[in-house]
Amino acid sequence: MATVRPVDDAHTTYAVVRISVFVAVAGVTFAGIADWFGSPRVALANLAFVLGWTQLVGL
Amino acid sequence: MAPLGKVARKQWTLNVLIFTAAGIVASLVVGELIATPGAHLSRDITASLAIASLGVLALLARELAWISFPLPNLQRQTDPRWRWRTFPVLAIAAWGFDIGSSVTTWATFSGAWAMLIIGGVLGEPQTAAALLAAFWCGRAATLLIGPGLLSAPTSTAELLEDLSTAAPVLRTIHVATLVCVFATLILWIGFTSRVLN
Repeated sequence: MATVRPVDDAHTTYAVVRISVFVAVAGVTFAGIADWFGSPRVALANLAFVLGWTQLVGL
Repeated sequence: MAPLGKVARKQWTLNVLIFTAAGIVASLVVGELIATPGAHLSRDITASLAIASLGVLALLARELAWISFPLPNLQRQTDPRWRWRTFPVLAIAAWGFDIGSSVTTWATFSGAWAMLIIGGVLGEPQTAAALLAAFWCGRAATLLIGPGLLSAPTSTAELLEDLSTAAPVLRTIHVATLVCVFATLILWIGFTSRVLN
């Protein structure tokens, strides 16, 4: 029996890249805001989230 | 777990919550353990931050392949056979706890060690626990996009194959984020130096 493939390989990769870039930009922006307000621990927590995201454990 | 998200949404949601919660517990335990020894040492936050910065710099150089050294993670992956050896709920919790600890399974990138180094060197158990929990939440959050990327519950292997093409971009994001971590530590050193003087 033929294996069912994702709709479009390029689409899958593009979707992952697009979401990951969004997560990274959001995380770094929040980290920058936290730094601005003198909360480096909060900034690091935001960056930790982005670092964790790039490991893609759920997939 | 992603295939389950295509066929049984309610069960999948529960499994994701169990998996994430177990990983958070593991992160908090590891965070407390690595920071507790440092908490009993003399506290010079500027020196601690400088050491943490050097550690992050070394990890950054490793990611850029300027230097090479093995990460002290155990070279194993979590065991999928737990699914058939115990109750499904327990297996999911065990997987979450195992991966969520950040040190008992093989790591693709160095980021977890950046958080472990910062948490351990600072000697602040709550900070270390929070950083590792945030790192884990980032990892676990990728579960949420899994079902959306699958066209059918049987296409997991093909999806994983396709995702390997996204690996260079993910590595670039990882490296850029490590640069931001380093910058934050340097800013923190500058801030503490100003306050102390």
